[in-house]
Amino acid sequence: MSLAYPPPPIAPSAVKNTASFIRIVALSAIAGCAIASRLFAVINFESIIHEFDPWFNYRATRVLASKGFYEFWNWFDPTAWYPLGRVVGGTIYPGLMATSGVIYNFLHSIHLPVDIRNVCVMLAPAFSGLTAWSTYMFTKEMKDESAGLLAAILIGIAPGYISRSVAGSYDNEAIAIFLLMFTFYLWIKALKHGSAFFGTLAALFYFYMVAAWGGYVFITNMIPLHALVLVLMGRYSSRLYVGYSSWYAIGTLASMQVPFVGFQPVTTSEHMAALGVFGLLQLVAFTELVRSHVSSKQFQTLLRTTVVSVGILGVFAIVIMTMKGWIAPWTGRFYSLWDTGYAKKHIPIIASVSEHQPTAWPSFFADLHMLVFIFPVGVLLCFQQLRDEHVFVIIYAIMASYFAGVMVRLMLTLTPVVCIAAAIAISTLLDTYMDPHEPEAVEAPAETAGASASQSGSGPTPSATITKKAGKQSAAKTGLFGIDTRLAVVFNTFFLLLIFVLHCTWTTSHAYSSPSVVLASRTADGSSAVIDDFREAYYWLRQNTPKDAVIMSWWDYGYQIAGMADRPTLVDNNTWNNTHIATVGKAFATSEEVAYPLLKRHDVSYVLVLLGSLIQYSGDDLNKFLWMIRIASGVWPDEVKEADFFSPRGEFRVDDGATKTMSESLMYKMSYYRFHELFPQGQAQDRVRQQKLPAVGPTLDCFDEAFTSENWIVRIYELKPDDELGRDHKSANAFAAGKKRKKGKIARRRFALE
Amino acid sequence: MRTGLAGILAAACSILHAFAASTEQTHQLLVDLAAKNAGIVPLDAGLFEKIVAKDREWSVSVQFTALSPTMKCAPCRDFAPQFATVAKAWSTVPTEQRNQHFFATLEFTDAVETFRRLQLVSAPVMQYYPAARGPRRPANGKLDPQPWDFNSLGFDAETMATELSKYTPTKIPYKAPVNWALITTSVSGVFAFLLALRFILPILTSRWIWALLITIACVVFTSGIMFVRIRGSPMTGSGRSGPSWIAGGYQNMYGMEVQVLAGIYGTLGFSYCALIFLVPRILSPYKQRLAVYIWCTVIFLLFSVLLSLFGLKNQAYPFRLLI
Repeated sequence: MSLAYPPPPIAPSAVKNTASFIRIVALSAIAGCAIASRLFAVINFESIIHEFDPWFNYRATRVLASKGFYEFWNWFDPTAWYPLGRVVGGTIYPGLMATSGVIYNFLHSIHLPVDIRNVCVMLAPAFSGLTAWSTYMFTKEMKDESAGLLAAILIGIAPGYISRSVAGSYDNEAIAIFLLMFTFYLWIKALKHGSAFFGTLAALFYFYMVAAWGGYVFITNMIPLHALVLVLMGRYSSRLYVGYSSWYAIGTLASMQVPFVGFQPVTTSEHMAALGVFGLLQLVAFTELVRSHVSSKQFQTLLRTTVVSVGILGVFAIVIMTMKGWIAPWTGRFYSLWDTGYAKKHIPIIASVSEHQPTAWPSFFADLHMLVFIFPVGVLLCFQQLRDEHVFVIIYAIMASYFAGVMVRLMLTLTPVVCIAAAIAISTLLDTYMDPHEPEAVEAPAETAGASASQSGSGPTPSATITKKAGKQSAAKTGLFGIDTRLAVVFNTFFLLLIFVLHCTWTTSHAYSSPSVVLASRTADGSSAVIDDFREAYYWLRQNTPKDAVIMSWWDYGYQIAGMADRPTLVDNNTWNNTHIATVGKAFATSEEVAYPLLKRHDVSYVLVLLGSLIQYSGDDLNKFLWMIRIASGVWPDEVKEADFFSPRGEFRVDDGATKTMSESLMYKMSYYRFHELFPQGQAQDRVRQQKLPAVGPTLDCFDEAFTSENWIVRIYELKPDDELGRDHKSANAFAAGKKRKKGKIARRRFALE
Repeated sequence: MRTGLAGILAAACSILHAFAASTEQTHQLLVDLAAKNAGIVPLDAGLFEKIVAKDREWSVSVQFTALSPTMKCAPCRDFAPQFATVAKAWSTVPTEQRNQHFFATLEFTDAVETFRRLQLVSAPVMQYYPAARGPRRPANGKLDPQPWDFNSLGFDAETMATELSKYTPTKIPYKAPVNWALITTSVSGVFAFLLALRFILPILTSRWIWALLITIACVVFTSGIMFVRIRGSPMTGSGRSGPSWIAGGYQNMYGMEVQVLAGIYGTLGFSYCALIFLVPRILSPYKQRLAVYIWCTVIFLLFSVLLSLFGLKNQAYPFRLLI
């Protein structure tokens, strides 16, 4: 046995010690790297809470930090969903807030006076460090430590995970991925050792996960699926029985303690798989037990038939109970994962959210880069040994690939398994090509073997048997020749990994680090500028309006208004009441005459709309307008019709070709009110929709323009009070403008006299 | 003077009479045509004018379509049978109600002028013309034709039947036809599976068959096949310069891209498999060295192609290799 290169002259024990020391150093470096690459948002902008949902989490955390846990638990928020209000404690997953509350209190108890906002901003990066560690632990169970380290660094910088965990992205996913990975690790441990201790630990972390994220259902179905596949493969063992039963029993009881979850684990279809597999395992365990005590063959057959029929009966029972309505059927969000056309037809509010769209390949490539084609190799490698834990990775990979394809946001659950599988593949590749052992070259005998095999048609000649033996011996010793082949592959791999790092850094800094509350732009001379219209407008509301002034806006901005402006809102991002949202949609989609009384009845004082037309901000309200119309027409099909907003050629137009319904809608008027004054006569241009606007802008009768931000992104309108003389606003305006009333037309009183 | 007035009156009467007679005639004609053509009245330009003249006591759903082979209107051909099944279902209701609503179709080649006048630039279009007189006249007095919204309601006959039933005098008795083909195939499939189980079982329990299937599924899913299926993207489309197989824009893709991407990912993945599994088994140093370099080059080249493809999608992407 020759060596391709001499191994370093160090004693094996020294190598072992150094390796374990380097592992610790590497893991802490990886954690540091994971945290550091998430700080772009803080460095480029400031320590600020991002986007929409985090603003609510932040607001709730502030309540928790200032008033304590019991106040938070019983918090009824009267300013959300005005006039309905919201019971916050029972409608959220409190894990995130509780985590930051604990960290905050701990830091204060050791006299580190950290602001609660900074705790919230830095929570996601901190937990990403823990995710890297738990991924290391998980992958270590799959292959070895070096694959674990590779998986840890991959998950640390993969954009698919960074997208939901940059500093300031204070959302449930920030801690949920760590919990997901750690629960899976504990489950694998429990399964491997048949340990009730690890099963219980898995259940506890499962409980933490349930308290933190609605995506816990993924675990609820992954573990039973793994158990079921193992049973089907004939790999039932008492280890599986102990691990699963301890996890399921304790985990389910614990998860029911979360008020928002309540009795769902025993009444909804999403959780039935776990219950069914639990029942199945009891049956299988019973069979195994009886079989080990009874020897009669007939009896065993009988037993087996009984078990199978009981299993089938159980499935039927669940089906019938679902049909009878005792078990709630799949909720829309989960159902739409299977029947992909369902949401668009029946629940536009789910279909309208951009993160619920299917994933195109550029998103996969941007989020996973080279891992996207290496991870199937890792999955394939899992089949080589196919231990129980490898089955888990295989199932996880195929399920998560499907789900990530259906919904962009589920890319988050795919990323960990991709990193693990890719790490297994790359580490196996490097193991193969860094191993210094060379096989013995058997070129000449191999050729004679081929030649003699073709010659010897009648029977084995002595020489053929000898070469066959030689071939068998060297087939067992596979390996690489030469140093250059090793270098070629190793260099190639490292080069790709280097590009991966560059890609991750670039994607993170360019695509995922925008707070979306503050926008980055460039001025004409190329220097960077910050567009801060949102905060400008929200602070205007905070300082210039009465504390109880109700603000109407589309639901996307509800949490931000509550968080930054501290004013009551009609609807917000917790989209629990479709009718209420449709009411807002209807107000925006109808004319002033219809909308004004509607708003009055809802005590609205201000209306807030977003307009990107001036600076090409494409996420404005007119671009979301179609969804507003769709949602409104789902509740009032006779009053709001989608077709009325399209030109005869089926285009969505805002220029001269806009339909009458469109140009009279409140949204259109509020967006373009006085907009043409920014341009020379007749030159008004909408830069988002690339259309020329009519020369004469819309007029508003029932609303006053209250505020418009610097770049015209946020526009706020105030509802006019009732006319002192009891006229309607239109005729009052006409009178003020000196227009003569048309003969025979008597101004209609808006309100009945009684 | 008196005679003049009487004359005018008489003339008016006769016009009214003729008017009534003509609507009666049109109605009778529609009833006959519907009975003859399995519930669908084939219209021409003249008959269409008579329908849209606002003196009908009945309602009509008109399908504007272009079924002639020269037009190559694939959606028209998808929609026509759906429309026909609903019309056929309608023809089974009692005469009393059946003659209050009609299903009619207007072919583009028969009435080019009408299409132009109605500014219909795409087909198919379906419109519901409500009754203009009589008891079934809409209470809100809106007589404008109601277009069928293909975007949100789709082509499905079942949806059409339930939606149109809101307008028709009685519910359209549409029942989804039993899909005998599917039932037969699935039953015989299960049967064949059970029969062949003895032979298939070694394949089903073979670990590498499963490995292959699952790996391929992972590759295909991550190439964006679900996007194409959910959005119904076409196989190819037209770009700025003629037809193209790659869609512009980051959140958009054509069916062809799935195949190309799956091919690239598959080849790259296979190269790694070859490096891990196959190359160490080659026992000749020279052949082995050749294989290592070949697979490394394949990886490097395909990866460059991949980067440049991604660069096409995301113009701001700065990284390129070779290409």
